[in-house]
Amino acid sequence: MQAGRLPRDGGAIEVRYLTARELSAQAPRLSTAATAAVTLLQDWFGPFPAESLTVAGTPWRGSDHGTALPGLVTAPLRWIAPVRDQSMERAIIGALVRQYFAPDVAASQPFVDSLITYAATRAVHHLLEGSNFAAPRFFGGFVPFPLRTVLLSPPVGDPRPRVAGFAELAVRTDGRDLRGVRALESLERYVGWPTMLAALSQLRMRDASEWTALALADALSTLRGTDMRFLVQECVRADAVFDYAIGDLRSQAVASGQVETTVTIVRRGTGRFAIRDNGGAAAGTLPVAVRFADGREIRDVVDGGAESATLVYTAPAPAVRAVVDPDVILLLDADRANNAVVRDAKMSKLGIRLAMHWLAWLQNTMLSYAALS
Amino acid sequence: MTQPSSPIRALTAGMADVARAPLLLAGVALITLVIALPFAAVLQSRLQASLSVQPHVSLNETEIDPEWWMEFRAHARGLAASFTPAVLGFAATLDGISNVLDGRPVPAAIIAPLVLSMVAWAFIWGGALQRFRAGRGIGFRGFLAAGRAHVGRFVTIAVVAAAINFVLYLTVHRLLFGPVHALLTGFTGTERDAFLVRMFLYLIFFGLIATVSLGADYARIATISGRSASSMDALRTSVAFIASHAGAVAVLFILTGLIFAAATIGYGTLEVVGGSEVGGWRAVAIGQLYVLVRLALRLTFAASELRLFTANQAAAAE
Repeated sequence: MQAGRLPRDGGAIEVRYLTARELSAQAPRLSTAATAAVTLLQDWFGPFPAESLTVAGTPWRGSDHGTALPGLVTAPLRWIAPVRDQSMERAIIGALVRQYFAPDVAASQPFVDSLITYAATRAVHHLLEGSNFAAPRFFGGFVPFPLRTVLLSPPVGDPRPRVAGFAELAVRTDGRDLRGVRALESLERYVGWPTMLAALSQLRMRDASEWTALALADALSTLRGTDMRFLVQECVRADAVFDYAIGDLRSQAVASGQVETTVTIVRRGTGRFAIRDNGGAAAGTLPVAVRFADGREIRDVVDGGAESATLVYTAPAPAVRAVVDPDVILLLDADRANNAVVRDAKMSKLGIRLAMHWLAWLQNTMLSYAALS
Repeated sequence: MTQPSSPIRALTAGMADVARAPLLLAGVALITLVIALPFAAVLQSRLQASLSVQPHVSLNETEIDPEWWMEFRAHARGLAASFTPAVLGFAATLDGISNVLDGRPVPAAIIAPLVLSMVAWAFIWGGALQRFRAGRGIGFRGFLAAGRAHVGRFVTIAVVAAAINFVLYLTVHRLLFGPVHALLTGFTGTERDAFLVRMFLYLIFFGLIATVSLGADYARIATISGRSASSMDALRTSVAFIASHAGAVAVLFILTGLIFAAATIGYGTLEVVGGSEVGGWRAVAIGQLYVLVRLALRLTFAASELRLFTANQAAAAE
């Protein structure tokens, strides 16, 4: 057992670290992860909600999830745990976030589950930037192999995308809260992380019974000065199916060497990624990017609540590409393949390289199974 | 008087046989590549379609956007569904071996290439074993003729072996890695011990499927050596040979297995130590080189088995 203290609101949190003897070599990783997480979470959500904390690295028994009770967090320690496999760190961070929102997991509501998983995912990306790699496990899950080519948490400020959820962080082991996480991640991409963090922090200050989607919407509305309730409620509505598509892209010559381009955006799902105020007035929420053959690109915004929207441009060249939601704000979109009409598709080197990797995988698989016959 | 061949002598001779047949190795590599390429082309078209609607993300040459990958996998069906992180570099090798040992179901979409591969190998063995038996080049036509002459029997042998292994997976594997595994790991106190239990069970099961595969190997060799009139006769001859030369057969198998393990560990070490230096296209090239090594080893093992069988049968005849 190791012990330590972490600063907390002018005082200190007494922290104990427990690991099985055969896994004691991993104790420094455990304490490093917990210290960094507690420091960050206090910065985000205020003083840690307990005066003492026990961090226990538990022997592995099949689950990759961390668990949390008030003042106690656990995470499974694996026998083979290379530095680039950060699943233990992710589990610790997830469990510590639960200390703030709902140490008693059984009592939490679906929205709160999603909120916890979302906040934990965010904390993981902040704390493990540049070191959080995909690490599939083989041979019954005992042997990990980190993939340096798949960085899950790029450095903060890096525009490269981050994955929206990790299996270790899901409060519901059936993964149902991941839809809610994608909803909150979509809202974050719309309002920006600083606004989202401020809203989460405000929500956290309220009584636990008020941790609702409506309360989050109110906080976001106050912070942005725009009525966000409709947008938030649509995003978190479990039965809302979001699917936006480019219905048509047409260019035809008009007078004086100009080309008229018509882009039709259609909403194929029941979900509406839209802003509505009390009077029902709409505001644009969905970006649309149109690229022309001469290299020019125009960006517009359409109302995500409308069943369809039409944009017309007169330009010297025809359009070669139209994309709705080009920056992937709406992670809930059920089918991104129909988000674009592309007439200037070029062979991607990445696509070829990935197919070549798969080819080698298939050859290896063929050889492995051929040995059985 | 002809001396029975030792496993080491057979392995050395088998290596020399393959070294003297570079065109054979190249041809086999080409055939397996040709089988896999159309499926890779289908996957590539789906990857291109998905990548073309993605926002441009500035990544290093060796990096892959994880969010795009998750999105792609969420909608992937058929071949595309098998495009998991486990296909990258050395992970692909681990995945192939791990899936066989863990008995994970083969994705339905790749059953077609696996069946094609089985039939192709039935054809290849006819030509390759004839080439090794002759001890000299038999020419392209000779290879085709030998392949055609034996493909029917070798397909039968392959189907019998695959069927026995399938039954082993349905019965012994389920028993070993179900209740037996649960019972034994229940007695263990640490993950390391649980892993050792799993390794022990792998050894037991691998021993069984390796025996079946050896039976198929020596049945093909018995056919090529003209010591059997039918596929069933060849299988009987094979079983009799393995039973009477169990030690030599096992040692040869283990020696070849050690070379395979060394090559695999070397590949893994190269990828771990090399880091991003062996990423991107270099990783693709190294992956293909490893496949070539596996093919060479498979041919070497077959040539060695032929040497072992021929020498011992000749010694017994005298």
